[in-house]
Amino acid sequence: MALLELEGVGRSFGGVRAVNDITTGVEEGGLFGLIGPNGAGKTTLFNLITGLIRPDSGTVSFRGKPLTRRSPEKIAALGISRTYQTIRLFEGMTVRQNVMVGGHLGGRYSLLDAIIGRRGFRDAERDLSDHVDSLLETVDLSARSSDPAGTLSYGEQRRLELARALAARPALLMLDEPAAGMNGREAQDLSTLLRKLVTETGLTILIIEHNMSMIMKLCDRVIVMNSGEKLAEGDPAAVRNDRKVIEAYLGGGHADA
Amino acid sequence: MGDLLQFLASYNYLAYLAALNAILALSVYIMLMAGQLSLASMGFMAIGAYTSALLMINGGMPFAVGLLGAAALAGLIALAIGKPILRLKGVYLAITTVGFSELIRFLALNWDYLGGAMGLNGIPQTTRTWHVFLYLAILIFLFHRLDRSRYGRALRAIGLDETAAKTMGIPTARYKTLAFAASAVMAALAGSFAAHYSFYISPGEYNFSQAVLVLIFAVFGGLGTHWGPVLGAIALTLLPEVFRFLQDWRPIIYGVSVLLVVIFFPGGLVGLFKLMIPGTRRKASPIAGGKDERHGTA
Repeated sequence: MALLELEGVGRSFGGVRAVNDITTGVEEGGLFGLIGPNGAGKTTLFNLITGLIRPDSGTVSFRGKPLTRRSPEKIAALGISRTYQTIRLFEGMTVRQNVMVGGHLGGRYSLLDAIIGRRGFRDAERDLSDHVDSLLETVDLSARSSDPAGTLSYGEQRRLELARALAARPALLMLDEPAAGMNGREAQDLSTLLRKLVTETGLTILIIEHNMSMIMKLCDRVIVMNSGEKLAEGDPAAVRNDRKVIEAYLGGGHADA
Repeated sequence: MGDLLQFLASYNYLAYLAALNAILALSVYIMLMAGQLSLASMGFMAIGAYTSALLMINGGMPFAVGLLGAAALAGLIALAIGKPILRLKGVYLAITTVGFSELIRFLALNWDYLGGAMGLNGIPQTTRTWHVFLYLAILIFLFHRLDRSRYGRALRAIGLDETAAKTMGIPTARYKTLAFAASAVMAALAGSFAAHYSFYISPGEYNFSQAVLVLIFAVFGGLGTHWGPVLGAIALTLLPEVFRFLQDWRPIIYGVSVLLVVIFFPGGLVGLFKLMIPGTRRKASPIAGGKDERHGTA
C-alpha cells in the first residue's frame, strides 16, 4: 500500500482549476519529485495534502486514513511535515527555538505535568533538546543556534526550515523548493543530506524543485504537473524524454500547430 | 507615630494596588504571548467582582466559594465565547473584546440585582494584602513553567505565524481559547480580590480607560517575558506617588515616561534593564529552548 495516495484530487479558485483530477501516490522510503512550470499547481497540491486548503473533489489518504476532512494540525500529528516555498520561520525566535517548536508533537506531556515539573515533562524536554541539537548538527547550524532566525542567510533559513520540519519525526517530509536561493555547492550538500535521511531513517520525501539536475539525480520517481493536471509520471530518465514534458517546459502548445 | 501609621497604611495600599495591577497586566499578557490583543480583562474582572460579592452578600457563602464561583463563571464564559471571538484578528479582536467588556458594564449598570449605577455596598472585606501577593507569586511561577514547556513555545509560535504553527501540529484554535480562558480566570480572581478589599464596587470601575491602562502596563514593561508586565504595572503604579511633589504635572510625567520607554526601548523596562546590566543581554526573546537555559550558562 502506498504511504500517500491521491485519488482524483481537484480544487478551483474562482473560475481557475488550480489542481485538476490528480491521481498519484508515493511509497514508503523513497524520494519523489514534483516538478512543473510555474503556476502548474504544485504548491496548491502541497496545501491540499497538508490540509491548509480543502479539495473540492477527490480524496487524499495517508496510510489508508482519509485526510480530506482533517485539520492541518491533525494531519501533522499523523506524521506529515512540510516546509514552505516562501520561508515561514518564527522570526522573533532563535534558530534553536524554531526547531524546538517543530518538535511540539514529540512532547507527550500535559500542561499540568509541566507546571508541577513531573518527571515525564523533564525527560521529554531533555529528549527534545538532544534531538534538536543533533538536528542543528545535521543541517550545519549548530554555531548559529542562539541567533535570531531572521538574521540567517537565505540558504541557512531553508536548512533551518528543514530541521524544524524534521523535529516532528515525520514519516513523510514535504519540501517546497528547498534548494531555491542555494548555490551549487549548497544544493549538492542538501541532496546528499536528503538521500542520507531516506536510506538511514526510512523517511519518505516528496520534493518540489526547479533545479532539474538535482531532481533528476536525486529522485526515485518524478511526477510532472502542468496547468493543474498531471502530465507524466515515472523514473527521471523516462520523464526527461517524455514529449509532453518537453513541450510543457519549452512552452509547447504551438509545436503541434 | 500617627504619621508612621499613616505612611504604612498608604504604603500597604500602594503595594496591594501594584500587585493587583501586575495580575491584570499578566491576564492581558498571556493573550499577547499568542499574538492576540484582547481587552476583555475588564469585563472578566467585573464578572469576578460581582459574582463573589453576590455569593457572599446574598448567598451567605464563604470567601473561598466566592472566589471559586468567580473563577468558574469567568472561565466558562470565556470557553463559550472564545472560539468564535478568536477567529478575529488584530484590531477586530480588540474592538470585539472592548465590546464584550462594555456589554458587561452595561449589564451591571442596568440590572437592579447588581445594584445598577449605585453599585454594590456592604461587601465583606475579606481580602488581605498577602492574598494578592500570594496570588501574584503563584501566577509568576505558573508563567515561569509555561514558558519552559511546549505549551509556552506553542503560544509564541501562534503569535508569530499561525499557519506554520498549525502545520507543526499545534492546535491553534484550542490553545488560543484556553489562553483566553486562563486570562479570564486571572482577571476574574483579581476582580474578586479587589471587590473584597474595598467595601463597595460600581460599574464605573471597569471602564475602557482601565482596560487601556492595563495594556499600557504590559507594553511599558516589555512583552519578552512575564516579568515585563509585572515590572511595568509596579513601576506605573508607583510612578505617580514618586512624583507626587509635581502635583498637577504628574499625568504629563506619566505620559512622557510611557512614550519614552515605548519609543526608545521597544523591549520595554525589561529590555532597558538588560541593556544596563551586562551579561543579561540576549539575542532574541527568552523563550524556552535557548541553549543557555538548559546548561545555566550564557
